[in-house]
Amino acid sequence: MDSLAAFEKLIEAYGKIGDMLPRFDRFAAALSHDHNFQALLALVYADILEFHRRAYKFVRRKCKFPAIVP
Amino acid sequence: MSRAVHYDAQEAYSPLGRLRIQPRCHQRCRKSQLQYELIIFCKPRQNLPRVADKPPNQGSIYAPAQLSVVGEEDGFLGAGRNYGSLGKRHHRAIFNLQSMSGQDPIEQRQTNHAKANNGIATYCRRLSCGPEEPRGVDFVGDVIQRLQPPPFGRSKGIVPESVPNGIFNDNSGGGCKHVARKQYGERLELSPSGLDDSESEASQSRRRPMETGERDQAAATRLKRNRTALMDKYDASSRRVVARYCNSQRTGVSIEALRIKLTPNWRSSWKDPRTLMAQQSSAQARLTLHDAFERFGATVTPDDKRDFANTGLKDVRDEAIRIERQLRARRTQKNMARLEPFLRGMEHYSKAVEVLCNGTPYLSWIWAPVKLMLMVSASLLLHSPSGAKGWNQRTFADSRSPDNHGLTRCV
Repeated sequence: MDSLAAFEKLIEAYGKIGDMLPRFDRFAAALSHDHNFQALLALVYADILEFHRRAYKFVRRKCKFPAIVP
Repeated sequence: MSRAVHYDAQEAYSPLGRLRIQPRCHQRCRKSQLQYELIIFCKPRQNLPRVADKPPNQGSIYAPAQLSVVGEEDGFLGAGRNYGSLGKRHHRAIFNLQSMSGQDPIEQRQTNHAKANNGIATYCRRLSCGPEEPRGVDFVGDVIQRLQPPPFGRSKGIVPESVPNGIFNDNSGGGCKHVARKQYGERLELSPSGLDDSESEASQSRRRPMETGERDQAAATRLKRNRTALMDKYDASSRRVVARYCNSQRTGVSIEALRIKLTPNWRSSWKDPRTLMAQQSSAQARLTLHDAFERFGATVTPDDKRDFANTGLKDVRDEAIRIERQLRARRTQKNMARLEPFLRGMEHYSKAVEVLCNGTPYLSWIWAPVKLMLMVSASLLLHSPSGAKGWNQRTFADSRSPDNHGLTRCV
């Protein structure tokens, strides 16, 4: 059941990220050469990758103490 | 885009420009034979550096009331520089002046880009020593002229009166100067010929002070040249402005100042320097991308890295569909539709960020981990039996039926 919750949480998190992503295609058409916009894109990228990093660490972590998880 | 305009000892009244410093009395600099330059970039007029009415040979920087900095003459600035009423300690004492200093060529390049892209007046402390000069300067409007070789370690040879076409055979001091000129000189906005003899004049005036008449004459010649260059640059409608502007200045004409003049709505486009300070350039955006990528990449195993590089957005979508189908078969319906806005957002986002990610593997790393994460968590859900290790196995040791729906790979 834990994994079920984890899976749901993961999907939910991705959904939240998706909600937060504005319509970048239109912005990109209008502001493609704006440095502020590029900086924003970079920050969004960094944030998403940070999320991925933590999720990845969580998924790939090695557990040395099997007794903790029943 | 800001442009820097040449500014030297003879152009003490240039409204915007570069100030070169020979850190004579700076012990550390003398040891390593560094040469410092003060480059001032400026976009809004409020920040436009202007020289106070001072005779050009007093070696002081004055900042008049309307927040203008600058003006240095004779190129002999050491640690003891005078900033007039704005304090004497450091360049930071000057309001609205951003101070940057790169410590190595890469940083130098970044600062160059940053300062060229933000609109504030920028003091850039630039290392220029060794044969690689100009270090990190690759921006079109950047200042690349090295005016004067360092005063130390230089032979007492005769400095040529006028240097033809930027070739200046000086092997003792600034030996790489002509290389820089060759490489970048034609990209300068002002014709570099005007800068050449000013260079020799500058080094000459280091030995003996120029007489006033001589100086005026030299300045007048330069002004004339600059004006011609600008006249060629701008169309006829602007020429009147140019001419008036040139006449209003005693020496030296800044292209940037002119550009501001020629832009009718510069005032509306003016931004608070503090917001400009926070503004990031494209170079910095790239840096952010790079940092994030490196940070994530450090935790990822090489196998996954390879996977990430080869994953397209379509793969992620396919994977999600596949997992959904499997879950449905197992009657554990999950809200996979929640993934759809994310994927769509990713699609838009990838189009936008494509420009920044050109030629890098960054792009696929935004969505590739999603696939991996989905696969792992779904395989937990479907309790894949093959090679599951660690908590995978333990968590699902007591779970349901042992069949798995062809989920061949346990990630």
